[in-house]
Amino acid sequence: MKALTSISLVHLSMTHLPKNLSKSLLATMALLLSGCAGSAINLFSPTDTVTEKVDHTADYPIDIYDPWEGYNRRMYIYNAKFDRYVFIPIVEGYEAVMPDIAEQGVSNFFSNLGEVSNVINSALQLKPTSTLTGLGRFGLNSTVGLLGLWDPATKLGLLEKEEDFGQTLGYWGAGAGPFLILPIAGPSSLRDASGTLADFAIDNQINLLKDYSGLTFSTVSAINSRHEVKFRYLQGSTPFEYEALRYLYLKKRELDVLK
Amino acid sequence: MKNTFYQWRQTLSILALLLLASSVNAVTPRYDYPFDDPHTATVVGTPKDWQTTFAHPAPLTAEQLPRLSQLPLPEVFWYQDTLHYSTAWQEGEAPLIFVIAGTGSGHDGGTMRTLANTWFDAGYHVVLLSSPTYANFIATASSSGVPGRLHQDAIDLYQVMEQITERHDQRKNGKRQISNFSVSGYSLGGAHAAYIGQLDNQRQRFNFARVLLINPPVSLYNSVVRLDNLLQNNLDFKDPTEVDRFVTNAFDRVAKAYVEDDSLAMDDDILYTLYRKLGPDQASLDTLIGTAFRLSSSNMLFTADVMTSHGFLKPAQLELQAHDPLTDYLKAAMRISFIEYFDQFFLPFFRQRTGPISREAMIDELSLYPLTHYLRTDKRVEVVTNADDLILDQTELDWLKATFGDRATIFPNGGHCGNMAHPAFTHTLQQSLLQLTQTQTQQVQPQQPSARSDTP
Repeated sequence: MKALTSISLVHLSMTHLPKNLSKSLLATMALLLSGCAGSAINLFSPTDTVTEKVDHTADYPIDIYDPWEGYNRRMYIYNAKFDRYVFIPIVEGYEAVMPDIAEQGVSNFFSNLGEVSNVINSALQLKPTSTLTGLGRFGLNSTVGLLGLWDPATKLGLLEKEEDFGQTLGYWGAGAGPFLILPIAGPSSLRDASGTLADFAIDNQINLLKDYSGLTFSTVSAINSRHEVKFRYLQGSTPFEYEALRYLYLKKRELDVLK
Repeated sequence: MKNTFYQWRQTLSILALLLLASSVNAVTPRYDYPFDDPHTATVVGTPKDWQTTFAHPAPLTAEQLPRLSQLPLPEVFWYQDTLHYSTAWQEGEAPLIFVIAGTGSGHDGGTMRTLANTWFDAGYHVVLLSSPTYANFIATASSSGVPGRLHQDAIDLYQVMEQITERHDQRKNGKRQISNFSVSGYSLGGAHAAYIGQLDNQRQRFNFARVLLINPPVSLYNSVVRLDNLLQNNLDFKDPTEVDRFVTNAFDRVAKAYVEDDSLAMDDDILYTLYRKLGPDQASLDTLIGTAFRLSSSNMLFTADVMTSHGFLKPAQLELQAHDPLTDYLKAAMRISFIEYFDQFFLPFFRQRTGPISREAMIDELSLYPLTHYLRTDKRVEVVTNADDLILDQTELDWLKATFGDRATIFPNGGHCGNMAHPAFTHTLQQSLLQLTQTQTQQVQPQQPSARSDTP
């Protein structure tokens, strides 16, 4: 895995997104999304600006540490446009050309490579069960599962325990830090983005694919990652999508770290 | 020998009974929806084990229409440049049903997918439309920019339906013919369907074979106040500290359940799983329902305010840019109760736009009452709802029974739209369309006698 292209960052970041925003645990929490302002403030004078209508001394659940919001919002829009005009058309082409079973094979293959990171990070978080599960899955799926194209481990009840270096940092007490929108890859945080880099560096060291991986590998990896995430940017359901996604991403990662 | 013959006969009759029982079962599934509490039903819906399974789920495709609204598109809504909807087409000629989503919901929500499966399975082409209260619809197809006036919403929806049909006619190359049209909707979408049905009697474009209202409000104002009270009785959204405490507590409980249980997957049954693990009390359930409603109304009123520059949340002169932070608007919108919105935005906006109207007259207008004659006399209109629907009171339920007569099917429980994926509900919805050519009789006889309402 010599080619550390920015596009393959997508894999690690995008998979942190809920795969089905509409009916996930996160949707449940979305119902609890926001709080509001002190009742003494007059809300309805047409000359007010909205900042006067909000109690800036209070804690709102929706308040997230986002000091780079100006950059983040611009990058969010850039990502949405990249998705719309480039990424999604490619993914749809991929889905049209590939038989479902082949898509599943590709998905399993990359998921199996990700097992390396699961094992290392489970070990770093002193989780023997998860470490052994990851090792067992990798061993089984790489052999019986034909280099990871099939996933017999899941069928045998060995479920994947996703662990990454961001979670390891969280396990040892690191907070998420500032919210961060990565180019193409999307929502992250300073901690998780650093974790992603560390995971890449580790994969690079292990060099599992013996330099067979190049640009093609990274591209297919990115397409597969986007294919796995059902989320589509700015479909018009809410004007507060950035707020919603920021909240859901960080809450989901809190859960990931706890687990 | 005689004994053997007797046994034979007995076996045969048991077999016959079993066969009979199973064929009866195939016609009218037993109504065994599990929740008697309407608050639970409304939140949890139909758990997987009680859901209809469809052999061939509707192959839904997301589609887009160019924007219809004459209002200028503000920079902050740059992405609202097309109207989104979904379709599922049968291979050959088939009847088509339009389905309209409930308050704040889009064309591609879970309930909409359930309804699409239901009618696709019955051999219909299906077109799913977002609610006129959905942000994308407001920004692309609402003529006034403020949804909620039912007759005006119906005109907007009608235009969308005409365009979709026209587009289909141009594209289909003689395939996928439409034999006739029906229209349906759930919750607020049910009220919209009724208004569209009446509008079509004047315009005659579709000549709907069936107009089917699912869990509709009778008085929109009353229903929304009821939903809002579920929240206001439990949580004061004007006090951010209290909201913060509630949300933190709720998150901690969900997190604990999630961390403790390895098998807890974020699948379609997550709500039921969490419900069983957490056993929420009624106050929590009501807060959840109310908050969900408040969230969708925040989306709606901010979108409407920006589209109309009415100066309710955003100063009228301020032009928001694509990347402007909107968090404060969300905070401000979340504290606004429905009555505040009604009195301080909705009513003044329409008084300014369409002339004087009293508060009482507006409340009357936002209901099915103006359609009483149409609903009473037009045999093509039917209603399916639940006796314990949270958005209705007894008077309104009785009004539905009296107005629709034997065209009302009322399940004993299910809350607001909680039982829509149950086989008995599916069956009712399918039969309503499949029996179009037969005489108008009560379509469903759930086996438990209590499952049927007494029709007057």
